[in-house]
Amino acid sequence: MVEKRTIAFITLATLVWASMATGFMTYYYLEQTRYLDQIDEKQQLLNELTENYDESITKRNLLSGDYGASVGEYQWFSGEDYSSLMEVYEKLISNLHGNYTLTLNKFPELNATYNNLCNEFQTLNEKSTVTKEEFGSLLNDFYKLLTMLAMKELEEALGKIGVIEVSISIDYGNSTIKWYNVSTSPGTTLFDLTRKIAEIEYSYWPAMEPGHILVTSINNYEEGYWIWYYRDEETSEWTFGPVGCDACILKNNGIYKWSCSS
Amino acid sequence: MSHGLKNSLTIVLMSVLASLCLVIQLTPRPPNVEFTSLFTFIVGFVFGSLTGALFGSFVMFVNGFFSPWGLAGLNMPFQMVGMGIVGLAGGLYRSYLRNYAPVKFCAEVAVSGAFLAVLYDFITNVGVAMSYMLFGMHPTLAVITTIAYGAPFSLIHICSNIAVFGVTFFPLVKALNNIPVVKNFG
Repeated sequence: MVEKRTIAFITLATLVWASMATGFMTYYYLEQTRYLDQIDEKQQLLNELTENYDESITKRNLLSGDYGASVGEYQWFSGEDYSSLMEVYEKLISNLHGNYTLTLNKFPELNATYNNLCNEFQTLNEKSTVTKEEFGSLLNDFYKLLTMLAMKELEEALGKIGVIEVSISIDYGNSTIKWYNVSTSPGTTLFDLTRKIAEIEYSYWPAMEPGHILVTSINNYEEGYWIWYYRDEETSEWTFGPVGCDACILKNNGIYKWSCSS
Repeated sequence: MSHGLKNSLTIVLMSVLASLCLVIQLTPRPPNVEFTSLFTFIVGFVFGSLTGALFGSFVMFVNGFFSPWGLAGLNMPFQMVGMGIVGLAGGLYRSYLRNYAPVKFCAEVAVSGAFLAVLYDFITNVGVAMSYMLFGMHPTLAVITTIAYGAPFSLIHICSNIAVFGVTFFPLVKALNNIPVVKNFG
């Protein structure tokens, strides 16, 4: 005959087991629900990305088609004065603005490039004759801007499905160095990130490529030239930024520096 | 031994045990591996339920301010009640102890340790759930969530209590019996 006492302790042990089993079952259920929610969220993002991608590519292909037609007209044009093609070009840049209004408004460096292109167009339009070289240069600039806008739009869409970690420092050159560890979306440029973490002033240089931006002041500090560097992974040394900051796309776990030198 | 001296020795012994509990509580260790419930159970077992309950509550009260996991805050009363119950259980266990065979005794104490860990975790999880409720979470959801997400930690607590109670309770009580102030056991 089993003692009552033994039964009581077996009951206690069973209670312990039952409560743990219930606890773990609930834990796994909640975790599974959480993971399913996360998977759903990611799937929605992927669907959104696919839709945005299709939309972006369709837009780019249409504009590329228009551009191709203009290039065709340009190449087959037999006269000396290309001003008759300016109307076609005006339509091109108008379509470009209409299709990429959001991207142009969001990225000031691209908007500056667009305005610069419009100004070039206006200047040529006011001239009595337009040479082959002048019109060819306009077409080239248009295609560069179209490519940049299309790429930026795709990067924007891609940026929604991931996060990259970046470290950036601002060295004011007076022994004040401030570090920032930032999470941002893939495709972000150094210029975008700098605008996020600090108040900046900059100048736009149309002739400079790739990237047209030179930063003139960070957090109202303008006692010299602001130059950017990146940390070379292999040599672990600061390396001079080879392009304009608006053309430098940030790497995951990348380390960057703005340095003010007088 | 005079009554006054016996009382003083009891207070000294309790203070030493309370300090020991606090030092262990403040020492870096894996989460939920603790010895406070063992000492509280022993104090309850040796000095009675009321003393055990007061001892456990006192230790958790002090620990609530110094714990390396941060200030206990709203959870402190729940920790005090939980540990108080452990002390109470120690006294109750002694009063129901008739005769003992070491193996059976160790098994019983290990099961008690496991059950008390479950009870303590449940009470403190309700305490954590209360803070979620203050932020507007539905009470049932708050309790279920805290208990569910506390389950892995509870498992560590239960396993460690089974080991700690099962292995050390018997030798410790025997050692305490050598101190004059402790009532002779068994």
